[in-house]
Amino acid sequence: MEALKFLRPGRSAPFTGVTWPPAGQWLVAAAPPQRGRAGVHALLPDVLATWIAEELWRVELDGGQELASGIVVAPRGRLLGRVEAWNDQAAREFARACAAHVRPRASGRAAEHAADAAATAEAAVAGDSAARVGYVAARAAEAMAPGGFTAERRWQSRWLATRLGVRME
Amino acid sequence: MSVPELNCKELVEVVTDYLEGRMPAERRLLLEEHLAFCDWCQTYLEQLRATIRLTGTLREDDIGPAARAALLEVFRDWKGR
Amino acid sequence: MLGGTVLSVSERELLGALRRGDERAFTTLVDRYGASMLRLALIYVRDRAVAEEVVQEAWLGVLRGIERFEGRSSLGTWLHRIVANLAKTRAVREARSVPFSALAGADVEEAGPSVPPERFRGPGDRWAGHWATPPRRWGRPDHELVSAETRAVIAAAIQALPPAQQQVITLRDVEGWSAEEVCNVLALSETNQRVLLHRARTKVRQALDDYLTGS
Repeated sequence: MEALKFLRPGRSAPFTGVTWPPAGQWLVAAAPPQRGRAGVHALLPDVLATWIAEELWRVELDGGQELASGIVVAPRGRLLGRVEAWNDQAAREFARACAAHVRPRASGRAAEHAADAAATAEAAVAGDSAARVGYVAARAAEAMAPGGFTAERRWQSRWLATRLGVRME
Repeated sequence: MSVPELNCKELVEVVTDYLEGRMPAERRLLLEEHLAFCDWCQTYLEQLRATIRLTGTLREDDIGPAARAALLEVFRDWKGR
Repeated sequence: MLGGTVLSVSERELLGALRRGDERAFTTLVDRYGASMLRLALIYVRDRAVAEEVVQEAWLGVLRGIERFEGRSSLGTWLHRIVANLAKTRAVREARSVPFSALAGADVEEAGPSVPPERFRGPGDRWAGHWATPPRRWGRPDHELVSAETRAVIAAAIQALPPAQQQVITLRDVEGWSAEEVCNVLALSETNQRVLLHRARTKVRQALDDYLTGS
């Protein structure tokens, strides 16, 4: 199945530090995949916003078990190609959009969170600060109403999927 | 917040469990969701990993010629017994 | 012969040669395990001369026990267990010894968080639990970090640890033993081993951080 993957510069996996091979070559997980453990992980578009990093790739997974978290795990996977539309400029647009989406509705604590988001959005880059803006904006949404965090994250992921031309299941 | 999350203060306490692969799957997900946006904790984790790598370079594999010679004596005595 | 053994083929050959009095087999073992056996003894007895005596005693014990060794543990584990037992006994007798309670190994010596709470925003804060003073970047790649100076900082930090933490981090991160091996030799539960390792690593990281960021 096809999915997406955010990597650090040089095809580096954010949590394990493993370097993915160039596009087309399979990466085999060290042990059979169990839930949340060893296995090659990739994302569905619904959770894009949670995982942003410098590089966005389309990936192919050999088989693949979908977890509740919007993550898919498979014994092996390979990169297909970069989503070129994801870069620092797109990240800054994302950050601004996140901040702008919560600011008008926010008051009290939520407004403070939203102000934080807006302040950081201007200098956001794909590497880290854009991710933090998304989180802060989602926290602002949660301060407005319980369940707001999850809903805001979904909105953010839809925004990304549309902006990057990635199909939303 | 009603959405479960794992914050920086909690992360630094469980980071060894994470590196050892001894976290339940749900907690591991929360930790990684946090790491995904928190560059500060990414720095902390990377520094911890670097510390472990550097600690590994302390290993010297040589006991020194005097100690080695003394042990050879021990061996030859035992063999001669 | 050896039934139910975990020894590899090369270990079995080494053992066989040693039993036949082959000196090369002995020096191979010494070269492979001697340094780490000495480091293990030093954790208990602290004095290098005494530690070297303990290690010599251990090798003699190995040679005398070589016929009886059944290979149910690996050679390395067996050698290190002998050293650990002798070193513990010797440490109790020695005047300048590690406090006996610390030799028990199973105690978790400290309570409370491993990173000072003031490093994080307090409960009333909007961002409670997030870093208040985030870690400063070290700003240099791995290969630049490896130096005599940083190794000395790490060695000193390990020396300053409470004994049980020192034992665990030395065996896990200096010697590269697995968690299971460390638990076996130090008679620790998996959880206690991990807690000790966590506290040790946290302190060593802090020492390195202080050095690298000039505090």
